[in-house]
Amino acid sequence: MEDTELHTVSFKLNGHVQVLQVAPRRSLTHVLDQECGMKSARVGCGQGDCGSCTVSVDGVPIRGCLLFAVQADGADIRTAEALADPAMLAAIRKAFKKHRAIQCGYCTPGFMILAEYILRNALPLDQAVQTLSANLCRCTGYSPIVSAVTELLALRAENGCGP
Amino acid sequence: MYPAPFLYHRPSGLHQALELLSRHKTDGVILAGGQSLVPRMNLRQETPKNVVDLNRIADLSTLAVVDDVLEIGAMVRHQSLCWDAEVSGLSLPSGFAQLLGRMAGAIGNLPIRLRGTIGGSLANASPKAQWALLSLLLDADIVIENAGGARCERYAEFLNRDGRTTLKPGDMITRVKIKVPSAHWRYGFAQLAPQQNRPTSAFALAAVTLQDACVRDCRIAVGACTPVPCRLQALEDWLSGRPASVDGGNDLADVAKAAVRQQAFDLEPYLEHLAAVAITRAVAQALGH
Repeated sequence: MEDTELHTVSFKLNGHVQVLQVAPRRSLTHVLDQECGMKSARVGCGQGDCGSCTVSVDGVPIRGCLLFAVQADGADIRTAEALADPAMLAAIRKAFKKHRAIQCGYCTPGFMILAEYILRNALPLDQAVQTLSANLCRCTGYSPIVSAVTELLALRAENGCGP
Repeated sequence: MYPAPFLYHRPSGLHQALELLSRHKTDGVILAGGQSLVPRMNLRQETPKNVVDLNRIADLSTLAVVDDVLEIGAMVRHQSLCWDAEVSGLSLPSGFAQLLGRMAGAIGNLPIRLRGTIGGSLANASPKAQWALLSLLLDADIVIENAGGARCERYAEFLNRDGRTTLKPGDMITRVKIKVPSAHWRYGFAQLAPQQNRPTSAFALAAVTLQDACVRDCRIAVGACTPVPCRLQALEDWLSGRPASVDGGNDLADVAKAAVRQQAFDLEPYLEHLAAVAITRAVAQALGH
């Protein structure tokens, strides 16, 4: 059976409305990468295990490989290219760089989505670490990522709100 | 990694969904949270011709207490039961609300909990599912609907000993009903996993009431290491009437192990050991040690 039906899907991607024709079997991550040019959206295991595909859907981190693009109709989607607030995105990038929380970089966009969620909700450190444990990183050994997020949380607490 | 092609249906109401399911009895599946179904579809272990997506049916996501019965809509996400705000609005006994939060929080990880649903978990009937353990221990009623009508099944009858459910093609779980336990009940929940966020190897849930510093009522269930979650009658009988200070050490562990063996699942010795550890911890927690 070939893809006989295409669905019209419209969603907000990083603040801009996108209207696309998609076959129902295509995952959100595939569509963001291949149709919308969001190179931070990448599939790792395709099983919901690794978290490389994590994107923000309606303000929460979601496994993009387990959501069909057609299900995202009407959603507000953010990818690591343009997380909610440019200042926060810059701060996250800076902290990741400073703490060397990146090696090969494949998992990095997924971790940035988690980091932004943690900061926006000002999660306590233990919950932040637990949230970060949703994704896999095979290079860094995690502690640089945890240090980066810890520093971001401390900065956030100092400044009263977002860094 | 692409699933096989399928036709996608997005009903906006329950009636329409049940119609679709009855029309596609042989080759249709229900898409709830998709956190177990979609991985299988990606691996083409599952190749449905029709997928019925329940995510736009608002009626299935309600959470309410009606006549002292907690009614959880099938599409309520695991994370909704973690968030105090959603559960605290129901004025449940605090111990019970905390238990719901702790068990929901023990499922997978945040992105998974934000999508996965209680109805999907129960229909999926994985032996490692936290909601199966809770439903068994608290005698939850599962409301199942199809185009022909609705029925209600006690969880112990809903799940057979071979791990299969009584769900037939065209059936859909729409609600789970749990009688809200009185505030006297105290709970303990212990889960053993190789590491956090990985599938659990064994978990146990204990609920007790105390009278004059002795155990009055008690219910204990174990799962994940067994093919289906099970109540441990022998251990419950042993514990009833004992002082609440009962030693969480060797005696309890031995009785727990014997009670698990009595279930005749023929477990590997290390699994029996894990079961005993989980049970001992859950009981100790419930007794407030």
